[in-house]
Amino acid sequence: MSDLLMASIRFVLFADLMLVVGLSAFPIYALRRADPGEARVAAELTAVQPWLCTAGLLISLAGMLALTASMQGVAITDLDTDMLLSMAVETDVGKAWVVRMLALALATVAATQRDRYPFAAAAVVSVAGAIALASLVWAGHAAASEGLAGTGHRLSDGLHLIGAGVWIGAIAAFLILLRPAAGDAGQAKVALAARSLDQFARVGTICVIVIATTGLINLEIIVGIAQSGRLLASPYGILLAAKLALFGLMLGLAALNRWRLTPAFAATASDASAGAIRRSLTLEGLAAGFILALVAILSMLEP
Amino acid sequence: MIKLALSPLAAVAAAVLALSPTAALAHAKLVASTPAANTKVAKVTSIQLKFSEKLIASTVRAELVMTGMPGMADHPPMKIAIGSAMGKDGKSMTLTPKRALVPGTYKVKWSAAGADTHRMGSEFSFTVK
Repeated sequence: MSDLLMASIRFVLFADLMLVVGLSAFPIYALRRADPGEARVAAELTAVQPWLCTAGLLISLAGMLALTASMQGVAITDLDTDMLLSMAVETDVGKAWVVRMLALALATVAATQRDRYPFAAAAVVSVAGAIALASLVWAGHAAASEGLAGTGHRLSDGLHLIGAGVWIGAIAAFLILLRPAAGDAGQAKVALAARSLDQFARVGTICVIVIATTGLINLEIIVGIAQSGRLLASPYGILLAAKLALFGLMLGLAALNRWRLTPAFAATASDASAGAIRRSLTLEGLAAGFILALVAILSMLEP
Repeated sequence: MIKLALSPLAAVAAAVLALSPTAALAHAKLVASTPAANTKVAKVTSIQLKFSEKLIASTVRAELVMTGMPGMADHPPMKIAIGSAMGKDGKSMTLTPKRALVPGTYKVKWSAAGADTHRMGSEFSFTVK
């Protein structure tokens, strides 16, 4: 029961913080600062951030209560302030939690300033969100690695999460931009979506390379690539293989978007071509969701 | 831009691959104890436990229970008062009974969370002659 609760909290927190990072990073690399229309779109994409950041604060608090209870071997209702304080002072996961809460508080405040300073708000939210997201490495296997290799493991894991966040946030941003809209606003958005899809190609490539490289580093540290063959005999290995298969599916869909669907959409801007991209993005987002669910379970299993 | 973004990554990759696999990745386990599990010893003034991973001090619980006495067929478990102290390395613990242990069988139970945040625990017995 407690394992299921912790895995659910972890899943929601991963998803939430990745959207905080990725959705707020999107306007910075995909939209033009000088264009008032695009500044409005930037503010629109950031509109959900106060909610995402507040949710992040609450989920993170719930996660800390559940983790402290499980580490102390008591029920959540039996927790006292001394136990929480000792977590925050004595453990790395507790210190990481304090940093996460401060970063999310800053992001929440910044997100409320989106109408006046859309791009500056997005920049602060994405950096603070990235810090909050990266602080989650202390809740997984990377927390147990010691010494210099441990620092490398946590650095690699943090980059892995941020790369995934930028990718997943972009999927969400495109789904928002490609919502069916009528009239001139719809036309302008279609043009904007076509241009930003094209622009995302480079950022997306960086994300994929970062995710793949850091993923291999993590695999090497957690199990050793040479030993990865015998992994398939364990539940950890099977779930990891499923995660890699879903990653492959996401890559396939991303390639389809980049080389087939986006050029077709840019050429015709038809409803049908927009619909095709939306379907492919939805599928990509679902695959990402399944990956996060697997990650939430994986980080509790012994490799 | 891609090259720029990847050079720190390559550095991290090289550093980690050169260092690994040295990282210990497992839940905390009891690796040794004095007195050892299932042994008979003459006199016990303190009990040492050694663990595979660092434990988080505030989560550590340990207890000592007397489970048998020579000449008594059905000895009810009796809790023995102990003091406990974590070793400096965070991987060892010393339990000190408040009074000398009389002949009989004893059971040590411990549980604690390690740096990987998992709460683990086990128990073992020994006999004082």
